[in-house]
Amino acid sequence: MEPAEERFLLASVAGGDREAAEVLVDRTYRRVFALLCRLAGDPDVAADLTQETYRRAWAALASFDGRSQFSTWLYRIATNAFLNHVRRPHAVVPLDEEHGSTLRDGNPPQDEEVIAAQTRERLRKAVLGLPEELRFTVAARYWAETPVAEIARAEGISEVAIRKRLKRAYRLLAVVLEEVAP
Amino acid sequence: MKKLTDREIERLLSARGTSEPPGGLAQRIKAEIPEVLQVGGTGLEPENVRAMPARSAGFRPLWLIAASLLVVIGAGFMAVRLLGPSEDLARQIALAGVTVIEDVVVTVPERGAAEKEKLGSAMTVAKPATKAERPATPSKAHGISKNQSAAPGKIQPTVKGQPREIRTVVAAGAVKEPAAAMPQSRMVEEGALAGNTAVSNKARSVAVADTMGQAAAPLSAAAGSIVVVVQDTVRKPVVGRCSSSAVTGPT
Repeated sequence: MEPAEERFLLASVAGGDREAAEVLVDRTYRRVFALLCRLAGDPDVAADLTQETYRRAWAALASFDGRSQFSTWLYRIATNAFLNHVRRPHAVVPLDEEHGSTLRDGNPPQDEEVIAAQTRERLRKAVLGLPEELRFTVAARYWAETPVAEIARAEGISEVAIRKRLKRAYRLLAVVLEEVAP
Repeated sequence: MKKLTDREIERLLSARGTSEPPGGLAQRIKAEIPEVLQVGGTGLEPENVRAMPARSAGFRPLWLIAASLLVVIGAGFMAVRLLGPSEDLARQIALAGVTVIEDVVVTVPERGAAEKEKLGSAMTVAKPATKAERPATPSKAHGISKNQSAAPGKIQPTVKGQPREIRTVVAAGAVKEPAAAMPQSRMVEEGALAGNTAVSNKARSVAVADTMGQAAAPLSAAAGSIVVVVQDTVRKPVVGRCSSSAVTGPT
């Protein structure tokens, strides 16, 4: 969604246009779901967390300062919603357990698909083990496909600083992935 | 697993493995949109709202500027008052160009009874309010001329200063106990009066009176001493201070 379109929709929402809010949902919910799916590793949990994300967004819309794009603001809310979900005592997304949800039921998994699924899972755990600022930067950049400049605006720092964060995240992920390698 | 490079990590992170969102998710989210939404942030208001500036939009900055100016002016005033020239510096400025002789001895020659009467009558009119009220020939009231004014009294520096030829004698003093050293009448005659500034009217130059007053002011604050201000031959003020016991004269 283009920034100009997003601004127009938000202005319409502020004017009481409910349809504009629905258009905002249509434009953004897929990427929010994709981000949460990569973070949680479970589409069902990701769907629930996507709903939770929008619930929180509507409640906190008055505090949205327009510094970053609405979608980037949603990604931050989604990440926090996921972390809260994981920290709950009754969380059903164990970080240590391999999920078979990424494999299609009923079909014998191919070797390549199994290896790819295992790799994604290791990567997911490694990303979740990153420090908070690195975790959000990596998730927003690669799992929500957010441009570096937009992440920089959302975080209130320079693009160079975001790239440094990414470099640091690469090194930490490489170490973690080597440690868990069989 | 071999050591992963940054490029390989980037490729792994970029790999797409996400399934599509379940059907109906968008409808569920839309169903939870509240009836009233408040949007924050600048520039997000509707166009018609942005076109109408708030009534106090220009008032608040103006008020802040005025308050800031008041604070700056007040701070500057306080700084000048606190860091301005001190009283000591004012005294130094007042004494600039004035020779101060410590511990002078004033000798007062004996006068005749007739002369005392003349001096006494002159001192009663010593402070005319206006120039017109002044005696026409003040030097005549004492029976001496300007050039002869050094004759009745002499100031002798006892420690440092050298003897000077004195043309005009103007005495201003603050003596707590003048009677201990000399009779009150003699003090009055010579113009040294306790408690206030008494000026011998004889040969007083109006032009130098203020200068001498300024010169005497720093010294006159010392109680129990007599401050003598004279003008030497080049009309330069000379200030002397002596204790009441140092004033000698016929009793």
